[in-house]
Amino acid sequence: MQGEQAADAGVQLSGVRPAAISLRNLRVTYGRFEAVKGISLDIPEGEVFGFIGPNGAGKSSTFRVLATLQPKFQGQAYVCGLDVLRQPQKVRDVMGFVPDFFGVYEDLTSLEYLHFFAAAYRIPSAKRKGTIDDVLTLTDMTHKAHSPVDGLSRGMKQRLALARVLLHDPKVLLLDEPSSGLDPRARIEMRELLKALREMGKTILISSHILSELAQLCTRIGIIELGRMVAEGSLNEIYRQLQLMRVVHIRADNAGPELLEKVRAIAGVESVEQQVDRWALRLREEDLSIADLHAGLVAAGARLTMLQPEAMDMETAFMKLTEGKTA
Amino acid sequence: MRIPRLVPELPLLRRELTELSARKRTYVVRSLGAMVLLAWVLWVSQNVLSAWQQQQQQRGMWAFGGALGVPAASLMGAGEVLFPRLVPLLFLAVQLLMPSMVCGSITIEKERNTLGTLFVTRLTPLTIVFEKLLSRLVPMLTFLLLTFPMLAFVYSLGGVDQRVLLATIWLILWECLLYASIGLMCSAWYTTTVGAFVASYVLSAVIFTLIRLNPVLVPTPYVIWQLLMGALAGPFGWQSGSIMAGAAVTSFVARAGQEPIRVTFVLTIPAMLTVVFCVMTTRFLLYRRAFVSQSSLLLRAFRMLDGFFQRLNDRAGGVQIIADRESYPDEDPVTWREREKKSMGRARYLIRILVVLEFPTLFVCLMSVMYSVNSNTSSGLTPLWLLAWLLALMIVTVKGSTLISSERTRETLDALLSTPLSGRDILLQKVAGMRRLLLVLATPILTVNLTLVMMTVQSGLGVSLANLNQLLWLLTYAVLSVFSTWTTLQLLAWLAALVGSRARAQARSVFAAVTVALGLAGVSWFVVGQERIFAGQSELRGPLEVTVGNAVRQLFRIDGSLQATQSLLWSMEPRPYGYSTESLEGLYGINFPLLRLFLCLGVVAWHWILLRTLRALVLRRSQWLLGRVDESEWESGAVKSLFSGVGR
Repeated sequence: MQGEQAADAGVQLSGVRPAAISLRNLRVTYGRFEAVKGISLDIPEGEVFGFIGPNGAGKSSTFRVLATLQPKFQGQAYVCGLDVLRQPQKVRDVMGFVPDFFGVYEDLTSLEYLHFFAAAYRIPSAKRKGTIDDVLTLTDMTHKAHSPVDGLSRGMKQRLALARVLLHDPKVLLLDEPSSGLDPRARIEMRELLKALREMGKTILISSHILSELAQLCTRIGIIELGRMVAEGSLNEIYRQLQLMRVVHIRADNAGPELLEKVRAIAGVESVEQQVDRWALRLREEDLSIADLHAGLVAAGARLTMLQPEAMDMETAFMKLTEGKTA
Repeated sequence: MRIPRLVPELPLLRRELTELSARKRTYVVRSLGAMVLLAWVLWVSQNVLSAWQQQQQQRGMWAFGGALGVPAASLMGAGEVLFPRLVPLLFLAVQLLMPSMVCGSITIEKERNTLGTLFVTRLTPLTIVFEKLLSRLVPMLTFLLLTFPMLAFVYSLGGVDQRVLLATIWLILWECLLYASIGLMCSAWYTTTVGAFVASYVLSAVIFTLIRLNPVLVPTPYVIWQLLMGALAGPFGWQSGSIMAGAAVTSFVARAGQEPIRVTFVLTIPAMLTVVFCVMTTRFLLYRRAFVSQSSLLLRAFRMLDGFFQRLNDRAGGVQIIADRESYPDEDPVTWREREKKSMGRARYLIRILVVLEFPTLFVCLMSVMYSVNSNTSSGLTPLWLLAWLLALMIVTVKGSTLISSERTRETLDALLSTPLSGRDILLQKVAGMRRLLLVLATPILTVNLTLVMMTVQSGLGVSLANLNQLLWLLTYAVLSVFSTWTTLQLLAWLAALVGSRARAQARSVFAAVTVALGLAGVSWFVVGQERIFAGQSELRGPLEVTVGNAVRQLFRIDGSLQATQSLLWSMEPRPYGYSTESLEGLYGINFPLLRLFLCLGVVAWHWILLRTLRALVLRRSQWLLGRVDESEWESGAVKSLFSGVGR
């Protein structure tokens, strides 16, 4: 009862969707070392939230709290409205967790491995075969069903781990760096699989070092450093928070001091840097769009041979937000 | 002019010692170990000195000396008696501790994948081996140094030749080197610390057994020391009787009285050569076994055994009792995996292990029965019983302590813990998965017990199955044998699970479980006293004291209920302690066999209660042992206190 009240207080987002994951002032300490320093977070149902941070930032500790594997922590943590500390058994029913480092039972085949976990998730015997066939199909592992788990490639093992956590059809997936150590093909396949899970309405909390990957997949991201959340929101919100300048590279046939002065005079252009074969323009995107810049350049008499906006990526945001400090 | 560096830099040794000094547990373990060793030394000293004083008093040599009224003069020369009692403790400490300290020296590098980086440095393989050896010798020697003040005290009492003292220190040093080099060799061969740990102790056990058979075959420094002390005590010295030295050796050792250091040095040469051999073998294995993939030695042994039986089966017509089949778990997945997928759980493998264990056991039992007809002794089976028990102890301890830590090491535990299986379920299923193994290990013990019954019946002690009382007595023994064996093995399994579950590494969990099992045996020694252990041989205590004392000691021992059950058979001897049953009854007014039965039942019941309590404790603390959040602990307040004031 007490837990339910706390859950109600903690998980109702401001009139939109209920939060699938909710953290309130989460603190995790190991001896004197404080790995997580008061993180608060709400992730609505159906959202894919990307967790970014350098090694030792506190990502895995946060995942362990939500996966009910961290007995000592301060603050509050809820999964689907269930208190992690008070209702861990119920949390395990609605959550699937893939840790950053995990082993597999080398003495089992993929099928036996999934049967093992199907029994552990208390899936009725009559339903097990059908469920396992479904997750094998979804993860494209059917052809490896009778292969020994020990002999699977890293990518296949990751898929098998995903198949495992899908067995009991959880509402929330906690994926701690699922793409780490995968080759480019396996990474792309994993991304497609995660997109399919997003389409199925699963709430996913995912961490990764491959930032471009999260940019393509996540609806929101959170950047964590030294146990603190330094930025949180959609990609655009984070760019706005950072007031990042957009860089546009141009090349013109009639480039010269006269044109340079005219370009500098365009409203919204912050600076122009002359490079060997091009000029790099830094502009405030809220004042001057790329299309307006093009129009301004033409009006200034520039005979453009190239206009190339630099991709504003998460690496830039990440580098700007973090100071490279690790625990 | 540049002075050449006399002492090499030894970077690996420096790193090892720095690592060792940075660990908190180094100091905890060393302090505890030193306390135990010193307590042991003091206890032995006190016993020996009080006995010495009594003897002196009886001889009328009591003299009052010292300002505090301490009978100092009565202790003069007591070093002669105390020294031979204390030094074996130091040798024992080396034999017990050295293998465990060394076995992980190279395997840890393999487990951390750091051995390759050592190879690409300028360190030669021999340097690596020497530095590793030194890195483990230094802590052992510093540990032994703690007891040297005690030796100095003994020396100050008089009666100890200075040359004998030096020879003893020399021999202790070589005992350290011998066991360290054996452990190092195992560490170079095995890929895991657990494998090296088990192998080191198995080799040590082999050395012990060979020493028991004929010490001259295995002239370890300890054997040499015993020879030396025997020679010093004269032809009828207390030690010489136990040493079956050959004639040439005996005549050489007899010169030890005149020139102990020279004799000791010459006798140590085989031990030195063994050390050199082990070190060179380690150097040879270092590269060759550096990158061998981890595979269970047991599994490989089982596969070999499997192949042998397969060929045997093919010749016999191909009868297959238990066929391999594809099966999936129904309700208890953890038990299913332990029983169907692990080498120590599969019925097919276990039956073969049973055959391998039971065949020699039965053979020895039958031989004993044949040779003991009409004789009054069953002592021939004692080593076999001990061997069966030690094997069971070792396997159950290793298996029980690694139930959870093996999952933790292989990083499979988190996946299991994030399922809705409760901690209680996981541990119950894990231990249930061991039951078949326990049955297999219990069988040789029970076979010996049953043989003892047969030997008792035909031994000419007047025991007959036609006598209803005696028949009932034997039946009680048989039932209690089964019950106590099962209880003991279960107790051991749960104890090992309790001790080993929190450990992060398998090796650590095994060390901890073995230490606790041995520690319990040590406690029983301290609590009840040494004399009572050698029941019937004690001149200081009467039969009643010995009987009750033994029962009390059995309460503390992990194998107490097994020992208690064995005592039922001794009760059937017509003259226990050299007294007839009637004279004992007359002496104490107690029916002795009945007393033994009650004491035995009490001990067995106590161990059963211990088992249930331990099991309940482990299950209650299961979530803590596994390391995850537990709602029952929250409700009970155990976790709540941790989070009080957090702002809920």
